[in-house]
Amino acid sequence: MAVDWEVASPEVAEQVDLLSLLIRDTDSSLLAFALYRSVSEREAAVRALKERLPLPVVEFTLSAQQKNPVLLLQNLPAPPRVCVFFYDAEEALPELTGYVNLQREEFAEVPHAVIFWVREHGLRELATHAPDFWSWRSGVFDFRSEQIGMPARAVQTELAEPLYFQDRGDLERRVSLYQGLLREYSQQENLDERFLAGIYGRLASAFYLLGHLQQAEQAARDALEHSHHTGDLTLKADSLFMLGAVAREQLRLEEAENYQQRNLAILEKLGDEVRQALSYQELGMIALERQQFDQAEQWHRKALGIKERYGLEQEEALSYHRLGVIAQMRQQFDEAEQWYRKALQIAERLGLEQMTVSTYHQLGLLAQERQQFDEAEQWYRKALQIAERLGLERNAADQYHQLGLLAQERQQFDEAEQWYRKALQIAERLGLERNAADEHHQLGNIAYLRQQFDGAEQWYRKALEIKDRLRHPPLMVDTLAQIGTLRRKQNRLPEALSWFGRALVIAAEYQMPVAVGGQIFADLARVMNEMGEEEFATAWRQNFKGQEPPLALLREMLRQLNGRAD
Amino acid sequence: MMTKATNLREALNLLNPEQSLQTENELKEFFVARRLSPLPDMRMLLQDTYDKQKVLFTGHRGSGKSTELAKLVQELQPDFFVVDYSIKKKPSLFDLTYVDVILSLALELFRKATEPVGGQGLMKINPDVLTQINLFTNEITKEVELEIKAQAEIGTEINVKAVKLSSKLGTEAATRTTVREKVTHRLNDLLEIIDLLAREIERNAHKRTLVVIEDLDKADLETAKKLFYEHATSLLAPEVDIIYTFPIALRHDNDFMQVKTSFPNLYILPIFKTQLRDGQPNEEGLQRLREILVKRADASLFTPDALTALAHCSSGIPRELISLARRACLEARKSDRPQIDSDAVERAARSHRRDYQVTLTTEQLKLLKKVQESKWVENDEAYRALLHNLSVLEYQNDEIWYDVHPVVQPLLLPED
Repeated sequence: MAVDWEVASPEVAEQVDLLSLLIRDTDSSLLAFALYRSVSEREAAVRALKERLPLPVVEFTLSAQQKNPVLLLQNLPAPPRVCVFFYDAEEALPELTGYVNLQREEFAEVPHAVIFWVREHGLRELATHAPDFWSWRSGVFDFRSEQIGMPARAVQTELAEPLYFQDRGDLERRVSLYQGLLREYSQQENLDERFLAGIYGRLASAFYLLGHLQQAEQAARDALEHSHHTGDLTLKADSLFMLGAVAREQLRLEEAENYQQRNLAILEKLGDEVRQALSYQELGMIALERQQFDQAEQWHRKALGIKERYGLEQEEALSYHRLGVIAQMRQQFDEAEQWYRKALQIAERLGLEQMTVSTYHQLGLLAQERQQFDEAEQWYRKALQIAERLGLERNAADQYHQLGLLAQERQQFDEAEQWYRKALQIAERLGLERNAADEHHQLGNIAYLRQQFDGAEQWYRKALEIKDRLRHPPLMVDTLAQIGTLRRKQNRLPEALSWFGRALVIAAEYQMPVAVGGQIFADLARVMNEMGEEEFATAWRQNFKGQEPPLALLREMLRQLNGRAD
Repeated sequence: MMTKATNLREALNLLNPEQSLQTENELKEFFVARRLSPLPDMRMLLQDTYDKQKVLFTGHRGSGKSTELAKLVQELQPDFFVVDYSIKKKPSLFDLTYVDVILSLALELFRKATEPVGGQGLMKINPDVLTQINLFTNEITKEVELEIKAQAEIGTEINVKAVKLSSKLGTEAATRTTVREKVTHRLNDLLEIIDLLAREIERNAHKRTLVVIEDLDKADLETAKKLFYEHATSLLAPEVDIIYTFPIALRHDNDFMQVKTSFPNLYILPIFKTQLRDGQPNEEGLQRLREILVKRADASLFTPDALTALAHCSSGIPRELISLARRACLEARKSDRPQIDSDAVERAARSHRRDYQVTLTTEQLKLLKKVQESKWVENDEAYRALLHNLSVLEYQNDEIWYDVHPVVQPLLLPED
């Protein structure tokens, strides 16, 4: 049966007409409320309105963490005039009423059309506890209807469409929608487990894309459980894929690999090549995390082959991008640039803004590696502009981080610190521990460069604490080495030796790029020079269970360093 | 600049409940005086008395307080150096104290007295007074980072400092706490500085200083009670004329008589009376409400019946009138009609009624029935809530009486 999101009754259709007319015909600030009972009604009305509105729609979902709509409104550029939808006002109660009532002028000072989507309870609370704000409304538009079976129909419709999103607000709305659909659908009789598995799967994807990994994992587990009851192997494979993707993000690499192998086993049985390509891609990313560049490349090329055969351009762009990253990590910068340019060409042509942001970011990294700092900054700022516009906080944080590095390179420490702190704030809010560790590390570097050694150590220790929790030793190398540098600066040479040594052992074990190991080796050689060989060798043996230090290699390194100094 | 609407689309834009009349031109074009307005009395009190007056001003939500105050300020400009500001944008209304009110008043006064006036440059204020202000602001902001660049003129420096400190007090709770503590210990010094500066302004501009503090009526009842009851002495202390807005709910509180003892000059802005106590229409009030609409939008955009129906349904509250007219305008536009007619108004009223239907409880509907019959409200919380949500309104001529909002009345079915 062909079903779509249509508004349910002539009365509701009339309300859609009225609200869209009001928004279209007004030029300045506008405040209205949209009343609904179920998320399926809301979704139908939202879609109908979006089709009719000549303005872009910006969507925000309020929550216990995000209670103040005024702050969200203030971050929107004005002009141009846009239509702003606030969802889930009820989740932000009771504080919401205080914010809007005491800051209602903020709504009048922007040209936007602001619509609060509320249930009866939310409307009552706002009318009673934010009366001044309420009195400014240009109307309440009633989208409530009495449609039996609406949730089931809504779920069916949602699952028939591909998961497509425009920006962060859209994703947050999806989370609210899926949670609402699950709540409403669960109250129906004769539940279809396929529907439940499907919606949980969607919820997991939305959480994953928002960077809420724990919630994504939980939703994927729920999807997996429901898929067991259905016997639908594709649903099961999708759940395993998502669990693997989350595990990879959290650096539980063995677990991630295991999920993808289980996923692949099912997909091979089903002969679903397209899904297999996505799984190969995941395996490529896992290999890359392990610094296994050859293997990573093999997986990505395998994925690319299928994507090209099926003409999946959007997915091809992703593979080009990934192959670029591998080439860059191998220091093959020209090859990396070629891959990025190919990815960018598709992304720009198809309007894939998130991919465009990621590729601009990589091109920035590349320029930075080539010491072309102004060009790098231009790429980061281009990426940042789109990321901020779309509300892609995670991508924005990546740009903040890199702009921090550039400022640091230019000795602009105050500016660098500001960028890192902005990035840290997002990382902490989204629970992105790896990123948070990186920002702590960089803030340590800034303190170090300002000769604030105690402060630097505190930042480094915090970074190490997080990295240790992530249980992926290569992440620790740079911070261990940096504490070594700090100890050397403090003339605590045996300790410096210990920190550098720990870093070197991990770099060697994980075959990290030569440049990383080489730098640590050079630092160790300097420490040896300052301590004297005998004392250095004794300290080394004490630190590394009686092992002999590589004195000959260190002497050679020292000679090279001295030669360079000459 | 707003100009009179000549078609429904323009009318839809002009009938915006979020916008009050503020500019000289808006007041000239669209202001409609009401018969029982307290404005003339307030003006006379301020102009004709030698003592510095402290005036309380209130009215129903949406009754046009901001517009009336803007009109009063416009009329008093020739005789007064007016400092008019909203308390909401200065300290935070979340945790407002009397110290915040006095400090915000001082900072606004410092700012206004040290800003260039229409190409005439800065007012010539005695350098000793400016030095005192500067020392005081330095002292209270010792632990606050204001990031102020050195200025050639001390007046400009004070101006920048006042703007930045005001903004910080509005947004940062920590700054508020730090500064508040310092000012509490030096409140007398601050009052003395306000007095000195007001005298300097009077010497220079030959005008008395009038401070209008708007939006204090948005504070919750407990905050308002603390301010006007417990700290009345402090609010009466600054040696300048002041108009304080205050929440109308305070008027129905048991402590109100105490407040009135401290602030005898209390003015209430009445709503336009649309009906008499016996339910008969009050033609004079309806006419003024119709006038509000036809000053904004050409009379040809309304049928005569629609104009009267809008005036009646508004219950005499200008913002309700504007809201209803906007909705009716939208209904007419949707039906491709050239005018707002009775049908459009009926639809608008139905929509407005539904808002009340969703928000009123069964218990409240029962109480409303009692008000409809008795034309009176009891002094208790349940009735105050009805006044608060505007389902009950206070009318006055020689006596005060209450009635249910006309849009809500159809919800009150006769009891079985």
